[in-house]
Order: sequence, then structure tokens, then C-alpha cells
Amino acid sequence: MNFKQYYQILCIILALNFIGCLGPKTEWEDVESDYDHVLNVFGLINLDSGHTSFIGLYRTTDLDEISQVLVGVDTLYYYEYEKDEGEDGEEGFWVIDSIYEPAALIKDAVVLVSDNQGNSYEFSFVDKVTFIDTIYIDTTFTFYGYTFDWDTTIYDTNTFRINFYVDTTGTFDPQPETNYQLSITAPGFDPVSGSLTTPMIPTIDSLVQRGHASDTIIASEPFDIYWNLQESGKGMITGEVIFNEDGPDTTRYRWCGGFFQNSVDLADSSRYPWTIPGDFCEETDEDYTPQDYFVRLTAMDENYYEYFITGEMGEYSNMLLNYPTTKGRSVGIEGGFGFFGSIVSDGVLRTIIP
Amino acid sequence: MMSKIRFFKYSLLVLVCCLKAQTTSSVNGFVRDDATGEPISYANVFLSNSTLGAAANRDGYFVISNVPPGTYEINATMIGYGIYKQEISLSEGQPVRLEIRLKEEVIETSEILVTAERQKFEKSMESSQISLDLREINSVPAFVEPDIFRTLQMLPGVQTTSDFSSALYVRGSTPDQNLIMLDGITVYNPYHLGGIFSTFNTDAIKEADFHAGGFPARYGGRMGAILNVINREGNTGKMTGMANLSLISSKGLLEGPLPRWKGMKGSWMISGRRTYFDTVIDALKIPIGQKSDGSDMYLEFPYYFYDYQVKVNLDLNPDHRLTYSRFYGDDVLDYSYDETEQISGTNVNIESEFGFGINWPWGNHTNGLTWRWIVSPEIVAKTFVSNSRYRFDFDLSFREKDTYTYADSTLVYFTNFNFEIYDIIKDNTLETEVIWKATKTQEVTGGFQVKDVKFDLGIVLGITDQDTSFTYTPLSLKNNTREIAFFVQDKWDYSEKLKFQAGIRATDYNLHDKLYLDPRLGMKYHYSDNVALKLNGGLYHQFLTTANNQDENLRLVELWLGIPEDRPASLAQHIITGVEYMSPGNIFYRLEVYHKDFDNLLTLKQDNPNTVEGDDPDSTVLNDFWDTDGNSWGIEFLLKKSSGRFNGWVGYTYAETEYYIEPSGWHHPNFDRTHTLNVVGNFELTPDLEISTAVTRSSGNPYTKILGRVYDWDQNLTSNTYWYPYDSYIVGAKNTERYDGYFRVDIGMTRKGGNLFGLEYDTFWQIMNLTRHLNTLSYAYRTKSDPLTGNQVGVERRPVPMFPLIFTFGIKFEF
Repeated sequence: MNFKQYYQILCIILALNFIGCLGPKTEWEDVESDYDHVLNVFGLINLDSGHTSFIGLYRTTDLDEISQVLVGVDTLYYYEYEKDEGEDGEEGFWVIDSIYEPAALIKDAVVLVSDNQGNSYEFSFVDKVTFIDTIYIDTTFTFYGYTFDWDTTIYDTNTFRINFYVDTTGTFDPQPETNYQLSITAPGFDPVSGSLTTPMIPTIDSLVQRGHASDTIIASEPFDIYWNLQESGKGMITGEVIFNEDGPDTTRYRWCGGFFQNSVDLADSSRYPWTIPGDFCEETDEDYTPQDYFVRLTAMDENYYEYFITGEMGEYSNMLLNYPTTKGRSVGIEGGFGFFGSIVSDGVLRTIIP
Repeated sequence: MMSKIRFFKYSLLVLVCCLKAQTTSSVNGFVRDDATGEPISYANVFLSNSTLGAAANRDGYFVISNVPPGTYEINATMIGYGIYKQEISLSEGQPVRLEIRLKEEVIETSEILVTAERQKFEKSMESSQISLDLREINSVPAFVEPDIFRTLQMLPGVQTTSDFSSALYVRGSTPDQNLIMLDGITVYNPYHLGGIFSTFNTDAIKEADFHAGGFPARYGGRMGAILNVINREGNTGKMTGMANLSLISSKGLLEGPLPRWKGMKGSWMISGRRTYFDTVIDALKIPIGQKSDGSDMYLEFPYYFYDYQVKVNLDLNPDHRLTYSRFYGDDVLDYSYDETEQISGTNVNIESEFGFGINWPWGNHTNGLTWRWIVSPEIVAKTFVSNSRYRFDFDLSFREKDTYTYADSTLVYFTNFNFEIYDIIKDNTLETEVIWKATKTQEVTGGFQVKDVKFDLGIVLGITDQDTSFTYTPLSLKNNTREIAFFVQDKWDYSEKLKFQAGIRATDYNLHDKLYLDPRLGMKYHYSDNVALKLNGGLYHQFLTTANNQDENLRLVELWLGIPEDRPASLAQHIITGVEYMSPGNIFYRLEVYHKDFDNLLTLKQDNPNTVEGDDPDSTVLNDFWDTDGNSWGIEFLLKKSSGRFNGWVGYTYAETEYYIEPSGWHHPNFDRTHTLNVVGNFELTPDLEISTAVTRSSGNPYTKILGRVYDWDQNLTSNTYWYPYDSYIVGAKNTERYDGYFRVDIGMTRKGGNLFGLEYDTFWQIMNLTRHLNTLSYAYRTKSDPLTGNQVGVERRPVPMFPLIFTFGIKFEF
């Protein structure tokens, strides 16, 4: 055999392999499941003023049924094309985000929250809230756990879909270090119960940079956060730059530094005060103007901390699954999945420069 | 009382034998292939007209002791070779050393020639042991080129997770529980191409010794199986070589004698292999576009692997031999991209450079030096010092540099970023073994081993610019471990029919305050000349583990760690019993039942997407483990015919393996296949044409079924607090479902006797998965959405297949 013959054989082999690799054919098939549904609970007791406690109640879904429904779209921003001078054509397009809601909503349950004083509060299902004759301009606000970010839009009637169980009587006033029980009874499901003990209210004492309490934080240098140490408790400390519109439009995208998020032990004196390291930034733009800087200390009860911070240690993974997996988590509740937890926070507003 | 009498009788017998030894003599030496000088393992050596004889061991060494003085005819036989006869004279107390050379010859005679299989059947104590020679390794139709691991996967008791993996899962043990050695040197990551091939070049292999379990006290530090690959020694007669070209790689081998000097002689062998895809693509210069500076961009293939092996044997004198063995092999993923753009402005010239690179070598480098000393005909000592380094080093880098040149000044701004993850293991081992043939019925082996292993696993991030330099090391795990082990084992022929082997291995691990004792017991009873019963068992400790995801079906690399201080050593208990039958036609049958119990295994905790609490550097994604227990049991049947024009084997395994971790409870691991049937056949149609086939039929691998969906939530705790739901799949009990059964037929053909420019060559052709059977590796899932409403209405899945139908071809030259 000469090299030409070897080369010819090689080409034939590669062609045959290409053909061979086209099969065996595989088809998509529906995945069916026979699964006894359980209730899926989002239960939050929020002690922050201006925030509302609420219970979201759903059920698990089969693989072949609707999991989430499209309820609307949110306008994010307008993307403008880069065009050469004199070039005609479209200028750009609106980028929108699809908004989905859980489809398996349970609306007819009896939800009770009670404390250890014998008080019981029935939370009623509310599908929407309406603000009448209200004008919102350039406002961002949070309501029932949703954030509403309005640009220059003016409405005279505003209806917000929430689909939660809330205290409609106005008498539920959660207190710190108090035990609360949750009871949910829904037709066709096993009853769900839960309990928690609300955390102590944290207090940020000061932010100290360069050896003294600072009203202005330099993001590229470390600073310490002091809070009133508690006997116990865990939570999170977060830092966030809140951009005002005084500076150039691109400030938000070019800003460097100031953002952090850490879980903390509110009673651990060995790591106190909590030091935020300086942020390494490539360059400092002299056009940057100082921005608002919000440091928040959130205390969490055991359930909330376990659900959102400790998380679930995965025991099965498959990189071809396009969703995470779970055996189903129950944190602070029994008889269903989800959690029943509580938070309370303190925040301070400072000024930050890069 | 009876046991005391028996002990006294035994002591007296030993004393008489010792005394008698002084009035007898012995014959010892080596049996080798006359053409190449390679030792012939398990050749039968005997004295005519007597019952005295011995089988050569794996090194070809034999000793017949307690021979009364006189004149004898010594014979040596082995299938495929002519009978060797020589007259020798033995004097009192004066042993005779022989160098027996057997010549290849086809014998047509009514004499029954003893095959290696029969020798092993008669002499071997260990259960579950298979020795494969090069012909058997090559008999299995190969994926592109012959591979020792893929051949082993066709044996009973050995499983795999997929066609893309050559890793060995042996009787419930994972690959990290196997001790893989090349000429006695531990190899930590014996794979190329992410596990598709083993790292062993079959052209350089003489034979491979595989123990699926119940191995004796001389081996330690692992719980699963032992594989010792022995390389060729080199042709002692003349220089020869071969070259091999397949679809993936090109291989070469040269071997020959060392020049003789002052009575010293020896041999050498060097072999190497490299893929050539990258070189060919580079040479073709296929343009794929232009860079911003106008220069052409060409297609690149950034991956290659290579390995080379060297072995040198030097006989200082008839009693002393030095052997140096070296192996270097790497997989390399190396890609870089650089671009430069220049802009000329009115007052300034700007040069902008951008570069990106991935450099990822991973592989093994080993060196070993063995000194073999024949202290006396009955005592052989081996001292061995080795170094084995496994290195995995992934390096990702970006660089940006802008140079502004003004009339009166130049400004330079640059940023370099690099990310590195590495795992480095350095193993230095010293061991000594002494084999003492104390009497005709007793062989004692003892020795020690000191093994220093350094583990270094880490992640480094670095950023440098014109003003500053910053390095962050989120992970740095260093471990220095030392195992010091002593072992002794006694192989005792209690009678013609009943043999025992007992041993114990004691290991001190420097991170623990206890001495680990591993007793090992074996028993063999020859019910008849052709039927034997075996029983083996023991304890097996292991002091290292791997931090790999247990659910992965594709494992690119192994990440090794030493067992930390706060964890006990992993432990397995083996018990194996079996019956063997060697037919008069030398067809070997074996039925074995085994049970293994695992304790203190470690399973990596995985996929916690949430933040690690605080900044705890001691708890990371690579050293947090579940305590794991396990057990496995099975029944294996093997029928093996090693000689003749038609040879091969049939193996069937029924196996069950279960592991326990806290979140999952007891479950089958992803490699557990309940039924496996393997058929391997090789038929010599003519002296120039061989056909081979391999058929595998087995149960599907287990997987975890998804049952439904549940909402989980994530949080945003900033000035605007909100929570948002996301879908998670609810999974059922772990690994309770199985993919469809596995089936594959491979065929191969080897055509010999070609001639090209005076060089002899063979061509080999293979077709993998001849029937194009769909073997499922995993399922891919997707969400069904309603195109009109956008609602997510269901989930679909599709099997991800293993090997399709594949043709391969190769050519081998010998000179």
C-alpha cells in the first residue's frame, strides 16, 4: 500500500465516520410524572417598618402542566444602534423582560398566624392592590416583596397584582424575639404547620474609615462596620450604591466599588468589627460624583438563614438539566415544601466616592 | 494437645529440611525468549524422570531446590516455543545457574505442552487474578487503537459508566480505589483525552497483572483492584523497532541490547506516542478570517497528548540487575490569541494590544529504579525507589495594553488578569521486598514501603496593572502525607492439594495516631488435577481520595487529596470464594462469588449555590465531604481460552452495589450495572488474517428521575428588598431508574504480511458499535413553551447517545 492509497482510505474512513455519527437518531419525548402534590409555602414575617408580612401559597406541579404563566412584560431599556454619520434606518429597539408568575396558585386556603400569647391572625388572600389617583414619576419602591421601578410614567389608577395571603385587618404587628406559628389548611392537601422565633432588631452603630467615623466612604479603602453585638443571631450585611442622577448618565455602568454582601454572625465578637476591604478599581474617573451609599444589616431567624444563606446541599446534579434540582426543602414548616421565616433590618445612608 | 503435636511435627520438618538442604543442591535461573531476551513468565521447568520442577515467576526466574546431587536432564516448556533440554550435573551444596532461551516454534506432537494458564492455575493462590499478555490486550477490537483499560473492561467484575470512559469500576470500587502501576510505579491519572484512552502505550507493554480483589499483603494503600503494567525489557539480541499510525496518534518503539562492558550487559526500550491532529491542522494553514491588524487568522487545533516510556535493564553480574523505568505523558490544551491595533491621531499614536490564552497541561511523570539481587538461589531481594508526579494546571489569562505616544511623552496602561486552578501530587516511594523460598512447600515474602505524598490543590486569581498588583487565593489545600508499611506473607503448601497464603500489612499514616493492620488470608484446595476451590479475604485501608462529582458520567481529570487528620482512613473488607476448572484442553473456567464492605468513604458535597457562610477558608467546594458507607456483592463467571487459532473469553457478572450518604440514603452508584455479559473472540483465519469481535450486553446505568417541579426562591436584600421564584425539578430517590440496556458489537480485522519499501507492516481495521445501537449516556431536558401564550407547559427529554458507529483504521510497521 502506498501513501496515496493510505490517504484515500483515510478519507473514506472519515466520510464513513461522519455518516455513522449522524445516528442513531434520538427524539424528544414528553416526560410524565405521577407525583402526589404538596403545598409550596413562602412565609415571611417582616418586622421592618413599611414592609408587610405575607404568605405565598402554591403547590408543586407535574412536569406536563403549566408551571409559570406569562403575566406581562417589563420595559428595561432602549438599545440604540451605533450608526455611521448620515446612515438611515432604525435607531434601535426596546428591550423587555418577560414576567412570569407561578401558575399553581392556591387561593382558597385558610391561613392562620398565631403567637404565644394566644392571639391568632387570619391572613386573607389578596390578588391585587389598587392605588387610586396616585402619580408616580421616576420612583422605585417596594411593596409586598415586589419592587416597582417606574421611569417617567404617569398613572392615575395603579393596580398591582400580588396574589398573597396578608393581614387585611391591620392588627398584626410582629414583635422581635417572639414565637409565631403558622397553620395552613387547603382543600385537597395535607395541612401545613410552621413555627419561628423572630430575631432581635439589629442596630448599626457606625462606619469607621481611616480611624474615625465616616459620613463619606472611600470605596477603594477598607472600612469597618460596628453594630450592637447580640447574644445570638445571624444575618447579612450588604452595601449598595444608590445612584442619583447628578452625575453623567454612564455613572451607573462605570462605577467601581462599594457593593458587598456577606453573611455574618451577629454575636461573634472574634470577627467584630466587620471589615469591608477596599475595592480594586482599574482607574478613577474624575467625573465621578459622590453617590448615596446604603449599608444594611439584616437579622434573620434560623429558618430564613437556613433557607437563603446555608441553602440546600445538592445531592444530585446533571449538567444537562437546565434547572436546579431538589428533593424538596421544608424549612420551618411541616407537611409541605418551602419556608416560614423572619427578617428585620437596620440601615444607614452615607455618601460614597470611588 | 493435637495442635501442639502438629506444631512440633512441623518444626521438626523444617529443621530436617534445613539440615537436608546442606546435602542437596539447586538449579535456578531465567527463562527467556531466544529472539528478544524477554523473560517468559510461568514457563514450566522440570527435571526429567523426577517430581522436581518449578514454574518461572513473572520475571522469568525459577528455582528448583533440594535436588540430590547427580546428573539430570532439565526441560523447559511453554506453549508457542520449542522444548528446551539440557544435561546438567549437580554437586552437593553447589547451585547451578542457567540462562534458558526458548525458541519460537510450532510444535506438532502428542506431548501435552504446559501453557501459562495451567501454570497459573496450579500455582496461583490469589482469587480474581488475570494476567493479560500483549496478544490478549490487542485481541479486543479497539476504539482507534488498542487500550489496556478497555480490554480490562471486558472482564467480569469490571464496569464502566460510558463508552467515553476507560476508567475501571471494579466490584463496586471507584477508579480512585484502584492502584494503577507502571513497572511498580504508582500512576495517579492514567488517562488521556479526558478518560477516553488510558495512558499506557500497548506497544511497550509486555503484560498486565490485574487483581480484581483479595490481593495479598505485598500490595497496599488501595481498597479496590491492583493493576501492574509491565513494560517490555528490550531486545537483548539486536535492535528492532516498530511504528504505528492510527486515526488519532502516531507511535514508535525502539529496543535493543546495551553494549557489553566489563561483563555487564543489558537492554533498553524506548517508545513514544503523540497525536498529530494539531500539527496537521497547523500545517494546512486554513484561513478563517483576519485580525484587526490585517494579518490572517488560521484554524488551530489547540489540543494534543503525548507520552514516552524508557526502560533500561543492566545486569551488573548474574546476581545483580538494575532497571530504570521512566514514563512521561501529558495532555495539553494550549490556545492563545493576540491582536494589535494601531490608530494614528493628530496628536497621538495609539497602539492597543489584546491577548487571551488558555494553557492547560495535565499528566504524569514517573521515574523508577529497581535493584534486583539474587542473594541466593532461594532468596531474591528487590529494592525500588520511585518518583511519580501528577500535575493538573489550568491557566486562563487575559491581557490588555494601551500605549499612547505623544510628541513629548508616552503613556502606557496595561491590565493582566490570570486565573489558575491546579492539583499537583508528588509521590516519592522507597520499597524493599525479599522473597525467600524457604522450603519446597514454603515461600515467605516480606518487605517495607515508605511513601511520601505531597498534595497541592489550589485556585489563584491575579490582577496586575501599571499601578498595582493583586493576588487572591480562594483555595489552597496542601497536604503532606507519609505511609510507612511493613508486610509479611507466607505461602505454604500444606499438602499436594491444600495451600494457604497468609499475610499481614501494617501501615503507619503520619496524620493519624494509629497503626492500621490489614490481615490477608488465602486458601486453595485442588479437588482434582483440574478442579480447584479458592477462598480469599482481607482488610484494605486507603489513605487518599478524589474530590470529584459522584454523579458525573464524564470525568475529565481526577482531583486527589490525602485523607485529612479529622477523617479515618477508608476501609474495605473483601471476601471472595470461587471454583476453578482447567480443562485438559487448557480452557479455563472460573465461578466466583464476592462481597465487599466499605467504610469511611468520602463523597464530595456538591452544588450548593448559596454563599459560603462568612469567609471560612477551610470549607470549600473541594474538601467538604459526606461520610459514605457501601457494600457490593456479585457472582462472576469466566470462560477463557488463551491458546490456539481461536481464543478469547466469555464473562458474565451479576453485581449489586450500594452506597450510603446522608441526604440520599442507600442508593446505587451511577456505575452499577446489574447484569453484564461480555464475549471476546479472536480467530486466526490464516497466518496473515485475524478477525476479532467483542460483544457486550448489560443492564443500563442508574439515574435519578425528575418527578415534578417546585418553586424555590432567591432574595435581593438591598434598599429594594424583593424575592423571586424560580423552578426547580423535584427529583425522586437517587438512582432508582435505569437507562435502557446497553448493547454493543465491535469487530476488527488485522491483516499481516504487507511490505512497503522493505518494511513489514500490518493493517488493522475496526468498526465500533456495528449495529448502531442507541446506548444512553444521559438525558437532555428542555422546557416546552406555548408559542402563543409564552406559558411553560411541560418538560421534554432526549437521550444523549454514547458511541455511534465508528470506523477506525491503522497501520503498524516493524523493522
